[in-house]
Amino acid sequence: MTGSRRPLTGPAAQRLAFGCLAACSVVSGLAPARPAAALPGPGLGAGPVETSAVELLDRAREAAETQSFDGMVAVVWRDGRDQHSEQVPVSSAGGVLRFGDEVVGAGARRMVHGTDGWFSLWGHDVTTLGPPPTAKYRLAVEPGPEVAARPTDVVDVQLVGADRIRERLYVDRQSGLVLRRELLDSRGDPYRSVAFTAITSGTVGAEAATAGAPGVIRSQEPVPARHLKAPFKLRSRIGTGYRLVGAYKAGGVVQQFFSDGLHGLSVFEQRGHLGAAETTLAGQSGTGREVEISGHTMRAYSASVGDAVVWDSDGMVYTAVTDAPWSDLAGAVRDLPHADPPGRLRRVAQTVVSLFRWR
Amino acid sequence: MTGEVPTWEEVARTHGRFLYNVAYRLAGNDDDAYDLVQEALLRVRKGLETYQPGSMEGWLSRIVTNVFLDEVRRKRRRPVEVMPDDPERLLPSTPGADERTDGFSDDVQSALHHLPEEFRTAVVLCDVVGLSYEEIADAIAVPVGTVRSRIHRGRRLLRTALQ
Amino acid sequence: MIPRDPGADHLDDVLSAYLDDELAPAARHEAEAHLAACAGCRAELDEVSAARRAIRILPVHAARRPLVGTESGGLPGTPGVPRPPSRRRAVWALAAAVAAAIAFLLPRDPEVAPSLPSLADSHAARASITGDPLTQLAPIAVPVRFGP
Repeated sequence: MTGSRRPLTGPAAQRLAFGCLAACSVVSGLAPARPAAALPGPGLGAGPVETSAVELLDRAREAAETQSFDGMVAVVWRDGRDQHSEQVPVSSAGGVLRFGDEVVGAGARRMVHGTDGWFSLWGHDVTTLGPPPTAKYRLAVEPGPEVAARPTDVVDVQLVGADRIRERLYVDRQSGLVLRRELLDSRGDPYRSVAFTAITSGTVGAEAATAGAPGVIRSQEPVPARHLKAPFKLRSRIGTGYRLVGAYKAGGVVQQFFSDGLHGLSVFEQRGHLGAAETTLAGQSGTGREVEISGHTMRAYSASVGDAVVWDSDGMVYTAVTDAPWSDLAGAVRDLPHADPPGRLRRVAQTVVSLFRWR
Repeated sequence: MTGEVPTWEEVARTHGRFLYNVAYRLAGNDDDAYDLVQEALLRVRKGLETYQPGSMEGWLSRIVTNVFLDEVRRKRRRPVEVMPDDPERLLPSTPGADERTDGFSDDVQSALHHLPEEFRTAVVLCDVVGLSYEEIADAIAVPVGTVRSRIHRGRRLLRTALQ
Repeated sequence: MIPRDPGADHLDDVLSAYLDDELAPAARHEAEAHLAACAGCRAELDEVSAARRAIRILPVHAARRPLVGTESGGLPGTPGVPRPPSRRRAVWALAAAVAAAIAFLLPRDPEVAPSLPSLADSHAARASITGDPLTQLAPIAVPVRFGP
């Protein structure tokens, strides 16, 4: 499997489509006289180019697959009150991105090593464009601190209309890679981050250079679903600024994947109901913690990949997952059905009081 | 009132507006107030079977207050997780066309909502409903001296918040 | 803070009882005598009286939607749109009968337990296609799964 460059779809096409918007992004403090040779990526021309935040992020995505490097990444997240931190070695060569011994990305393929061999989580290119990030976010670029001993430019992310910086991405000036991505809480402290602690660019170890992507043993790729049969329902929008980008089916579970231009959010639906409240979910999950959204109580879970909320309503079990901030997840959850089961406060409205007309 | 026991529909029709107002002052927001009234009306329906004609508003106040306090106690037993980032609104919620708001009422309501529930309950029953200390003591099952103390401390806190 | 003589007894919550006309005549008389002599308590009386008034003049807060109606939307639009009760009862009764019939025919919905780790991996894999592959994929490689 060779590392074929990703065709011009997705973010690159997005860039062309809203070039005007990109140029209008706020640029502040960027050193104007940066020589063209330092700019990563082919085909971007010589001469000074006003680098906008959106272009910076687009180039970073390509850099992750086209650059060769070797390093260590720390993944930090908070669940409840505990903070977790894990290290993952990462390397990239010949278009194959490798994380430890377990996860590989090559082109549009995503493979994970399970207990009995490799299997594929994703295998095909995506052509549907998501919304531009500038619809929901205000992005600003300025010179940033060193990350893993490399000078960076930092992209500050704010919601349009809000002051608080809720996310930061630190982009390596040399390679264009995102060296650090962090979500900030209301006090400005990072509570979730993926960051290089060490990185070396260029030629990597011989073993990594010659090994391609693993041969896949089995596929766990979901199948694109163009139409959904009742009771499933396609939702074109959800939460704040999330638009449906794809819908997929696998084993009775429907996944709708949404994007707001910067983050992805998935809603998984399957028919049925959850067991007793204290039942642990399949896998080595904990019992979750109880949260209240919009007056409804449900279970929330946190992990390295993001936060998840699980509940059931009217014969359907919903699982919402995202790496976006909690308020985005809560906003999406609010837009989904919540029929209270018998025994809760609101059963009254449906049965007894519906007989009565009140003026 | 003729002194007879009214039907449940009559109660809700005549006193629904009163019930909702009390529920709103206790709960602090419309969604919770709505839930409170629903549950209260259910209890009203059951309670009418043994209702002795008397102060209807006093009786209704007691019911809606107890629903409120039951919910407060229920929430206390299971603490709700505080998330690392606060929910943000991109757009301010737009008031409906029939909503009349004035800044002063909002400030007072906000200050009221920030009172601890015990103080808030006592203040609402006294100054919104107009119950006597003894009626309040009966409604929430505490001594009259406690009622007096909670009302006073609630008012002092309100005054501080409103300054 | 209200300046007052720290040593003496002050009225404290008697002030509220005084304002609410809850004092017996003798106690009321004593309170008034104290107030005449104590500036600190007079000041506190003003404060507490202002708070009491602020609540008492609050307008009645009306519901913005009908108090009755089903959770799934029920009556649309403005609150208080009346409908003849008999027709509503008939409609409700019919709907209930139909719902009961359908529920009888449908198979019972199964108890399911979503596999959080694999749903999360599916999500992260998909997100890494249009998002940044580095920051989206690295977390999948972390051995620890979902915490409490």
